[in-house]
Order: sequence, then structure tokens, then C-alpha cells
Amino acid sequence: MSAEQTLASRTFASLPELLAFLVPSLTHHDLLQCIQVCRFWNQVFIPHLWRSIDDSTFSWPRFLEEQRSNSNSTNKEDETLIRHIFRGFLKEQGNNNSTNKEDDTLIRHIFQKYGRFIQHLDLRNGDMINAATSAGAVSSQLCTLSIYRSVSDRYRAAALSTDSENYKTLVESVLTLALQNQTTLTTLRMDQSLRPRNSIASSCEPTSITSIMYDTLGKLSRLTELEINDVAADFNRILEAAPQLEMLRAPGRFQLMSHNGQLLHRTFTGGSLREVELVHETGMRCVFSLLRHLPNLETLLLSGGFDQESFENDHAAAEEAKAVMENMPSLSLRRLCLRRRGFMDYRNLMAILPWVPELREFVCESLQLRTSQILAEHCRNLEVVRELDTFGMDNDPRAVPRATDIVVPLLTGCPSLRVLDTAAHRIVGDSFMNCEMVCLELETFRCQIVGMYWLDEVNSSVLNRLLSVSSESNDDDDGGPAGRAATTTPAEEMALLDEVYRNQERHRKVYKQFSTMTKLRELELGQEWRSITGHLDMRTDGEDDEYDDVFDEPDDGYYAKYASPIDGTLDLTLISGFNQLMTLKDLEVFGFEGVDHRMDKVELDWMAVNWPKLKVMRGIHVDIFPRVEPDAKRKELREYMQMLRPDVVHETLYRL
Amino acid sequence: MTVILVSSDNQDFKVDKEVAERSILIKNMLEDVGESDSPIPLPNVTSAVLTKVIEYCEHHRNDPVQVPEETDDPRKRSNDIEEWDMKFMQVDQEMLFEIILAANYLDIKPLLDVGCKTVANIIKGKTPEEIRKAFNIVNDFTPEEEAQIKKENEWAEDR
Repeated sequence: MSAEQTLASRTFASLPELLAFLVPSLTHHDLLQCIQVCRFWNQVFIPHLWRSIDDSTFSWPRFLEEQRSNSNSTNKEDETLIRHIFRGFLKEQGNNNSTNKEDDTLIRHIFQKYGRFIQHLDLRNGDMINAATSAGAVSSQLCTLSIYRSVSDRYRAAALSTDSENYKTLVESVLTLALQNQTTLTTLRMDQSLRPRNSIASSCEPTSITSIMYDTLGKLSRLTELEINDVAADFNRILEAAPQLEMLRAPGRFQLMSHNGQLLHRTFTGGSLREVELVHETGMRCVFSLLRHLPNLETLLLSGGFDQESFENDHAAAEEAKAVMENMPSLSLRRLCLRRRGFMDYRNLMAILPWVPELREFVCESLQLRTSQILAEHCRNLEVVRELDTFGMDNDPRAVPRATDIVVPLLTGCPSLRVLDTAAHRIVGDSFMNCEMVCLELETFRCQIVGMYWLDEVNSSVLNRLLSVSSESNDDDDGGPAGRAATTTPAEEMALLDEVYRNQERHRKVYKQFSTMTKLRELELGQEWRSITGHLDMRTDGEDDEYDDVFDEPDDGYYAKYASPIDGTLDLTLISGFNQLMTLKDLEVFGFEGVDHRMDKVELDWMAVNWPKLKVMRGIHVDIFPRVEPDAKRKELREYMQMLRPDVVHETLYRL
Repeated sequence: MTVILVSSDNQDFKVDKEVAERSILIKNMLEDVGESDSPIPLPNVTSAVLTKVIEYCEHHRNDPVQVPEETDDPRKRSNDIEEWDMKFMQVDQEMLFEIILAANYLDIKPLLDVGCKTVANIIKGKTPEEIRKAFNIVNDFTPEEEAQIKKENEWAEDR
């Protein structure tokens, strides 16, 4: 290789501004290789590798576990290794530190060395938090600072989190770190879990710590997102200290009451606040105060649901609302999210919804009929209704049969509805085909159609025999059904044909209704539900990741088999009038998991041609669960579709 | 309207103005100079490289002006090279770097992007030693330094 030939690659490799262009395309793993190439590349890539640190990702958990055992170990070899590696560092620190055992741990060392490159810091591990908050460890260019406490860590380092003195120290050091980054910090999150476990009842923190918090907030001039864990935190004082806040996540109970239980009508100064999330249970009066006093509030997330602060009756609740709102509805609120179901949700919503006429999006854990009716009545501009936790326990169709037709009031009452994301809900076919649908703008329809009677196995074989009566006898039926079918009387046959006819008529009417929704982009008619308890137990949050390998080898039968199809679902065949859906020219997603669809290649042929924008199909995907018996027909259909339309992805709505 | 570009080895290239203006450098020069027939010298670009660059600009002459894309997931980005660009970039490695340097000099952001994505794909899955080979870089670490870097950044390994 001549010198001239190597010129371009060498030039490229020595220009930091060009090397920086590579970064967005490289993974952490790639960056890790790059920093080991040479000293110059190390300098160029280290800041990128260290830009975002989240100790729950990559190998941090393993790394921290090893550090823990190293630092507690009496194994001389380990100690020697660490000392050997950080010889240079220890020298730098001088002799006064060399006896301090804490200072020579690897974690502290790397924070001292690389902390200045960090811009986004998400920490759960106690050692990491200590190292990061120790003096001078992290740069003054931090934009995001999030401190959580993982469950396992809390148990391990119990002393740290149960002792309120230590808690105070922890919060103080986090606030100090925030203060060191006051010119850059835009997001500060101090998770609920930081609170000492034994002081949940005490709503009064030592005043010293709260005032430090307000002081600090007052100095963080660029802070727009704040999450705090302090139940005693006063809404007014937070907003006085940081009026520029746009997003606030906090416990639910603010001090909105005076001592004699009267509502305080103080005006908030939070004109910039656009999003509020209340993590604990919330009183309805608190919600009214927020609506009344935050003129730009767009999103309200009530993650803890409503508390028991109930009103005597619906009327009392409505009167209270009137008094607080002073005839001034909130015109800014666009999104309302209710994450936990409470006993009297509908009463609370009945009081609230008339005051948020501009609501566009309503999200809740479990949609009730009353809620759906109230929404349709008061929120005429509603665009999105979404149910969370589609696969939660409440939505197990086999455990508790749910009421049907809950979403019908939305279909008949909300003309601007674009998204109906309620995959666990069911509409009876007759209600659907007969309802006066106003939401012709619908883009997403996720809801099951049920109550469509279709032939059972016996009757199907009878029908097959009747249809092929003119051709030669073809006794390819296997076993019982055919045997019994042979004994049907002409009268029974007539009744059967009549039923077939009426069912086809009903199918046609249902498809006709769908064919008017020409803006549809997502159509999901099913939801394959299987017993997934084992998965849910270990996967509900990211905190237990460290225990992954314990669950690597679950018992046999831990994973479920396919659930049987949902009863009385639509028949997705051309003969039933499915081809009326040819008006849905914008359809991108078609889902029919758990639907007894009876479709075959001829339907796939039809879809491949009539839905040119189709991208995703949910129903004949490869199963995401291990140890599920493969379904031969499903595989055949999938492979056929893949041949017709290689651009269509096959997947499931279910999220692990 | 056409303009004449002159490569470092004194070859003339006659191209449509529209094509030449994919290069922001040339676009700005033409705007500064105004209507003029005088050839534009590009002393940093050889004729071999300029041929490739012009080929790229010809193919992308009607592309809309690029809007900087914001993708949250960096892993998704390097895969989205258009098929034509991918083929275009199938050149020997030195030529690839020449093209990138030219794109940088001529200020043709989309070409620079595609080039860098291609280089990133070369880096992917390679060990430090293999990367050194690809870029003709000499390892100037001591074994102690190598061990230390590894230890300090071990967390970045995939789980």
C-alpha cells in the first residue's frame, strides 16, 4: 500500500468533525471499540460514549454487582488488581486519600475521570449516586438528572434509604449537583422511591430540606421539567421558585386546603405549566384548582387515580365544581389520563368533564359505560380515546366477561374521533351495524365485533355436503361430524341454509358500516389473549432486571398455548362480504388476533391487491412466546402473504 | 445553464448549474460571482473523485433540500441508505474516504451523510485491531492503558 493511497483514510481518521458524523450510526458497543483504537480516537469518542449514562442499561447492572463484590471482598487478588490498574490515579490523588478505602473504588474513579462528559444522567444504584454527587465528579453541562432507587438496591443498602437522615443527605447532594449545573439543567427527576420507607406517614419533612429545595429550584433558571418526591411540597412555592416550569410530576396531595378544611383560592403563578402528573391518589378538589388556576395546562395525568374524598351524590360534586370553576371552563386542557381505576370515577368525571370542553384525548385504565356516555355528551371535540393496559388482569375475557357496547356512545356521539384504541372491548354486531355512526374521520379502530353467530363444526360439514351435492360424493370428512351430518332431514337442511343466509346478511351490514370509515389506517378486530401471568410477574417493571437469569429456564407449561378464538367474531371471508372493505384505501394495519377468521389464500390475494398501503398484519405472525405449538395453517397463510406482499410485516399487538 | 468545474489534475467537467449547486460551496460561489462563464477550480478534488461526486449529484438533482432528521434510536439510522446510494458507495475503501473528504469540502451534506453511514457500517462489528487496519491507524496505547480503558468502560458492553 503506497503512502498516497493511505492518505484519504488517514486524513478522515484524523478529523474530529468528520468522525463525529459517525456517532449517530454507532451503537454503544461500536463506540466502545472505537475508544480502544488509539489515543486520538479515544479523545474523540469518549465524550460520545459518556454523553448519556443510565445505570440500568448495558452492562451497568453486572458491572456494579462486580464492583460491590470486589469492594466487599477480602480477596487480595482483586484488591491488588484494582490497585494496580489505578496506580496512576491514586498517585494523582495524593497520599492523604490512599488510606481512604472509599475513594479508590472504580466507580468513584470513573466518575472523577469521565463525569465531565455526561449530559444525561439516570441513576438507580446507591454507589453510583454517591459517586456522581461527590464533589466535582460531574460536569457543569448536565441537562438531565434523574435519580431513582431500584427495589433491590433499597433492600441491599437498607441503611441508606430507611434512615431519614440519610435520605436528607441524599436529596441534599442531588440538589447540590443540580445547582452545579444550573445554567444547563432542564430536567430534574427525583423519583418517589427515594423516600424513606418508614416515613410514608409523615407528611412533614424537616423544614430545612424543603427550603433548600425551594432555594435550589429558584436558581435553576433553565429547568422546565421537574419530578419531586416530597409529599409536603407546596404547589405554590414550587411555582413561585420556578415559574418557568413546563412539566411537573409530583405526589397527589398538595396543600390546597387551609386548616379548617376550606379550599384555598390562591392564584398560581405557573403560567408556563403545560403538563402535570399527580402520582398518588388525587382529590377532585385538587384537580379543579389545577384546571382553574393553570391557564396553559394541556395535559393532566392522574396516575394514582381519585381518592376516597367522595361527594354525597352527583349533584354535590357538580355544585362543588361550579363553585371552584366560577363559570370559567378550562379551555387549554387537551389530554386527560386516568391511570388507576377508582370506585367513583364516573362521578368525578361527571363533575370534571363539563369543564374541559376542549379535551382531545382521554386515556384510562379501564373504560366504563358511564364514562363513555359522559365523554360523548361533553367533549364534542374528542379525537382520541385509549384504554391502557389492554392485556392487564382486568381485561382477561375469560376471567370476567365484560360488558359489551361500552364504546358505542363514542361512535355515535363524537364526530371528530380519530382514534378508538380499545382492543379489549367488544361491540355486538347488531349494535354496530344499527348504530348511527358519526365518526367518519376515524383512523384507528381497535375493538372486537362479537355476537356474529356462525356455523359450528357439525353444521359446516352439513353445509359443505349440501353445497357439493351436485358433484360426486366426496367423503373426505374425518370422523364424527360427517357421520352425524348424514342423518339431517330436508327441513333441517332448509333451516340451516336460511340461517346461513341471514348470517351473511348481518356480516354484509357490519362490513358496510366499516366501509364508510374511509379514513381508517388501523383496523384491529381482535386481541389474542393468553395466560401470560408468568411473564407479567417478571416484566412489569425494569427494576428486577438483575434477576433475569433466574427466570431463564421457566417450568414446562409456564407459557400458554394458543387461546381458542374469541366467540362469535367476524368471519373475514370474501363470501361474507369482506370485500366491501375495498373502500379502505389508506389501511396500513390490519389485525385479527384471536378472531375465528376462517380466511384463506383467496382473502390474502384480495388484501394484497385492494390495500396497497398495508404495512402490518397482526394475526398470522410467528409466535413471540417460546414453547408454543406452531400452527401449520397459520404458517402456510403467513408464507403465502409474505410471497404476495414481502413489504407487509407480521407481528402481534401484544407487548411483552 | 451549465458551469465548468476544474479538478486538481486540470480536467474540465461541464455540468448543469442545477447539478453543481447540490454543492453548497459551489452554490455560494456562483451567487457571489453572479452570471459568469469562468471555470470553477476545485484544487482539492481529483478528476476520479469529481466524476463520482458529479454522478451522485446528477442522480439526486431533483431531491428536495434535506431536512435534518431527528431519529431517537441511533441504531435505526445506519440501515436507511437508499438502494442506489448503497450501490454508489460500493467502491474501494480509499475512494470512499476520498468521496467523503470531497463531500465535506464541497459541502454536500446528503453525500457526506451517506458516506459516513457507509463508514459506520464498516466499523460495526469490528474489533479495535480490525478498525486500525481499515483506517491505517497505529496503536499508540501501552498495554496498561489498554487494560485500564477496557476496565473503565466495561459497562458499555452489551449485556
